[in-house]
Amino acid sequence: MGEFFAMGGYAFFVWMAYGMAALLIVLEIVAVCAHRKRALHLVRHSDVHGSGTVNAGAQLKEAE
Amino acid sequence: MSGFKYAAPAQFYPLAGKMALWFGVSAAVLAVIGLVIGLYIAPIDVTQKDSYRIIFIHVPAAWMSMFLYVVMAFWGAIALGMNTRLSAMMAQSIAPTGALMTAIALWTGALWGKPTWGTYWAWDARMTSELILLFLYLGIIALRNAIDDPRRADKACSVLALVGVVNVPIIYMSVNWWNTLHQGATIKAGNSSIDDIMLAGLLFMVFAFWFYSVAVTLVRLRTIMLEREVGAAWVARLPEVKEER
Repeated sequence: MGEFFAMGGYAFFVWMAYGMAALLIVLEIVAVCAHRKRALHLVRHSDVHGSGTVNAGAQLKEAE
Repeated sequence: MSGFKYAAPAQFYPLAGKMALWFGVSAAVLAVIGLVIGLYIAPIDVTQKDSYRIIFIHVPAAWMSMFLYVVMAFWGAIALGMNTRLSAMMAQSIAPTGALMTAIALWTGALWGKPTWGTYWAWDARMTSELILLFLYLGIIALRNAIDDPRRADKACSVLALVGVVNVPIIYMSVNWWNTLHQGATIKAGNSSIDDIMLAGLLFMVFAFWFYSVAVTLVRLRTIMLEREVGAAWVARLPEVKEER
């Protein structure tokens, strides 16, 4: 097991590469989920349902 | 006119949700297999020893960074030419993941460069053009944030994406056109300079990165659709919007 993590002396390079890639991907997933939660909250608490989509952009800004 | 225009997002939203789930699960399975092969089963490289194992994330990320840019520019062109909202939203949802893939490609490349060439960074054609790709992605994201009207932002971002697409063939061909520190292509049709098991691991990781990109982009697209269609009747009818009200 120790031999596996040692990566033949290249542990720093290999695990820094894999570690950062994993970290960035996890951060993206967290950010995307948080973004979705915010959007759902926005949609649920905006009283513009059924009023058409003519000015959706402006309504979005008001809701924010 | 408007009925046709808004029917598309309403129908695409649930489909995108199902697709995101399946692409996400597939990406996870492929990544586990690819990582086991890449980090454990594949033998060490004769000249680079274990440092070559960075290839299993570096190459998929670099390929996706270019591929996603072309897809983003394609949807931008459709949005410009046909004035379609959904295609503009698709382009918008790809940019952050494209930037992420570019960042991973640059970071892992630096960590591979140090043990292989003795330097983390060189201003050679491949690396410089890939860095420009990162700046293009970040520029497109920043441009959108700087424009309040989403429809105007769509147009501006589409134009910038299309102008920047010239950089993609430059990245791709840079190792052939210039004498770069970066090596030439490892994977060529019918004539790859790589062991079979290494190639298998690499392909698993390529598809894992590809499917991950599709999944995360679709989730972001659904979120953008919610935000931008906030007043639409189809949004109000969604089960996830109705609950907790």
